[in-house]
Amino acid sequence: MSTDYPTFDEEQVPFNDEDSPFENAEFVENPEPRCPCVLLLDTSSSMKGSPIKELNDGLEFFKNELLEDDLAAKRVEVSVVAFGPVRVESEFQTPEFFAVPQLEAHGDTPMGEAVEQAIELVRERKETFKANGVNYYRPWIFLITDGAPTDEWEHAAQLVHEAESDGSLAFFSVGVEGANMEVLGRMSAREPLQLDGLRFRDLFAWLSKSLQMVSHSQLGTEVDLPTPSGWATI
Amino acid sequence: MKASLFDRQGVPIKIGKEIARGGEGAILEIQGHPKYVAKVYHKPVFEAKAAKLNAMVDTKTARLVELAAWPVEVIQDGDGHVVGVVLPKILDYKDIHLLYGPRSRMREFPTATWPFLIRTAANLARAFSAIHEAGHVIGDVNDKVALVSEKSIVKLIDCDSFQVNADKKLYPCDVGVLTHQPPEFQGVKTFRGLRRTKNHDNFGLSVLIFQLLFMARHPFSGSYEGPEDMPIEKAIKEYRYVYGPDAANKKMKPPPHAIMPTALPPEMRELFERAFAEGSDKKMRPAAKEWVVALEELFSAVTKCKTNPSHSFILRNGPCPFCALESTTCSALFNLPVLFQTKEGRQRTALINIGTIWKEIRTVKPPGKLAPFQQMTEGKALPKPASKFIYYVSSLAIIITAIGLAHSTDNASLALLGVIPPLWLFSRGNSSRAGRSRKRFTQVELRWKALVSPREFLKYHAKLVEAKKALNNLGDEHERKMKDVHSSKHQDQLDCWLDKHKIAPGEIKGISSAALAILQSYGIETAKDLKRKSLAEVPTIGSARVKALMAWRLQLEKKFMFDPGKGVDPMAIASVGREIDMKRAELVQLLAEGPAKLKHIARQTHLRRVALKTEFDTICDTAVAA
Repeated sequence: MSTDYPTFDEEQVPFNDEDSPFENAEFVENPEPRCPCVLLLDTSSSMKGSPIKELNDGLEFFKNELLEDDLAAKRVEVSVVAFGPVRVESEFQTPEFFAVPQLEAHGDTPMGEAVEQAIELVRERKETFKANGVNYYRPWIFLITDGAPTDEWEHAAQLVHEAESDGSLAFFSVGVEGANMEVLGRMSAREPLQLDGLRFRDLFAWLSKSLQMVSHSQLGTEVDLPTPSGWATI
Repeated sequence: MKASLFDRQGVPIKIGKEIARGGEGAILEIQGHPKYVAKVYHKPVFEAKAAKLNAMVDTKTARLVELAAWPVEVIQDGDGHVVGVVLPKILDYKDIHLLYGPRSRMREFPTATWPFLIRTAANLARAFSAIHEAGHVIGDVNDKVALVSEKSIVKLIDCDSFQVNADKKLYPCDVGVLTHQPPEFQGVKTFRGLRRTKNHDNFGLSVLIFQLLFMARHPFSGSYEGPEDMPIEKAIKEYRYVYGPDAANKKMKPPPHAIMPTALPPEMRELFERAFAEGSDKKMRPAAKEWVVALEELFSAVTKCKTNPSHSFILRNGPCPFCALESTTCSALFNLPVLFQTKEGRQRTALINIGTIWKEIRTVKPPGKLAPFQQMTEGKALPKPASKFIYYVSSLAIIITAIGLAHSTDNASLALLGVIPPLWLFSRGNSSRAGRSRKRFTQVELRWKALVSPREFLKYHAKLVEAKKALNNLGDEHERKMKDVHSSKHQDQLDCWLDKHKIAPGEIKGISSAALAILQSYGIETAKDLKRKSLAEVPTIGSARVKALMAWRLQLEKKFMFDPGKGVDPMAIASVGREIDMKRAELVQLLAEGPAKLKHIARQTHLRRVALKTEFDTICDTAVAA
């Protein structure tokens, strides 16, 4: 609703009929263990044009793929963090409630800050799970970029390596054409993947398949992920 | 399927179109056999597996085929290699986790209630029991082990992974999902070669029953007070049953907003404790058959909640736990079928969940407060008001006159009313343009003030809050009314007794047929109707007759014997029930319309404000121009 008339925002009408935060309903209605995944997406100006369009289409496809699988639809939680500048486009949501953002490309590539933000989001989410007595799988952060960091990223890389080594995080990175693969290699403990052209759709098909496999797996076990054939070169 | 396929007798099996595709194989139609499907494996079937499938077909029984997707025939290629099996077709059944998860249940099993879940749990236990009786073990119990029909009938699936006992030989189960495996199997490197027992299955069965009864909560998933992570597998291994008597010692707490096992009869709580407690690996966990008995007892022990009949619970355990959970968390657990009256006057059943509706109501954004009018006019060129003195005096006069009018029909007041308003209007401005604009301005000011707070929205919202409260109190209200019915039992029996005694001529002193006729014309026919008050209305009756009639009544009252064993009039009980049902339907309808109406009001308030602002701006512009 647009405000074509002046309102007093600081004097909004209180609407508290009772204390019943919605967050509670989320875990009451669906207490399945969660498999959180942050999509960390580079939306710097170099992504303008077809890359950002393909990326947006890929996100929509990703959501629908996850919805196809009953159990994954209850367990996978997606959050989208876009960077340049860093902003949380979507908080953690199961596919059913995941509103696919329409990303626009502009700004630079503060990858270090973005990674730290994603790690913080994951940490907070874990706290929420714990407070609600809900179990979770190892969280994923999935970074997609077509450039090189324009900020300090070494600290972020250190956090990633620490989290990977104690098994509290799985960090994947994918470079779109133009990405600095060397930095990506140092950022993540896993070998970065190079996207073949703009095959975002195939990438998201793989990601959805992998998350489905994880969400069907036993908590705390390593899953043999499908090979990223058809969209990536290592 | 390009290659020709055959059964074990070499009879060709004609494969039709594909129905589904899983990780292991494809499910296909079989031409000419609509009650069966073919499962054809993606990968070549090894010899051991082929032997197992053959053994399963050999041991099939009508009972097994009825409650499980048990192979009825082996499918072979031209060379005699096993490539698949023929299974009974299971149509319109859904994964059991879709039933026990509240959100998926609301979508996939919209009319399922707690008794439905209890019955499903009992049917699941029946299926387990049949498998066990046949000497087999399920082994890989998990959230997808069974399918459920809309009538709560359960079918076990993926039978080829069962541990099959045929011909004195055991064909092993090589897999397991740890969330449903017993403590003694947590931490094993592989399930390959492990001997599975009924007692292992009974653990998984108990977990599934728990999930069915307790809104998908896992018995080993809760809040752990220790510093490290506590995955379900670890909790199972260490016997940290979250709801058990030992939980606090093990630093485990139930998750917030969980339905507690205290909602069950104590005997049933004990079954869960036996299933999950330390030492349950040695002793026998409750067997499937025990669960069947306990669950059927639970099924008959639950009562429909009077506040929300989509809930059922055990009355003697206290208030309805589902009401509490739905209202404290705004969550949706069960749908309530409610009969609605459509605009055309027809009746229509709709599935309603107050939690969902309430969530919607709460997401309607209230219009904020409008900025105070003074703030708007600051530093603006405005139409100057007329002499304030005349304005106030005449306004006051109008009010006084109006008050006077309200209290009398005094002609003087009427006359005053004729004189003063023109004076008032004059004070607001003459017929000049500036005057008109001033008048308009005052109107805008009044309307503005009325719109500062979104009064209409808040009023309607308060009405909805009241309706929700009333709805939450229906159970109490029902109880209160039933108490009234019970406490009036004595009076009702007495009335009934008195009503049986007709006033007859000759029996009572002074009551002739003529007098009786008069009494009857006043509706006084039996001893029950005899009250001083009603008799007083009968003319010519006289105090002597009244005295005689009342004495007769008193005599009868003395003879009356109260029978406490005699139940309450069933009509009275039914009528209380109907009254509560009607009230519920009304409240639910009000709430169901709530979100749309609130949105409409918010929109109207917004539009009125926009229009008002436009008008305000126009006046200001005109004032500046003038």
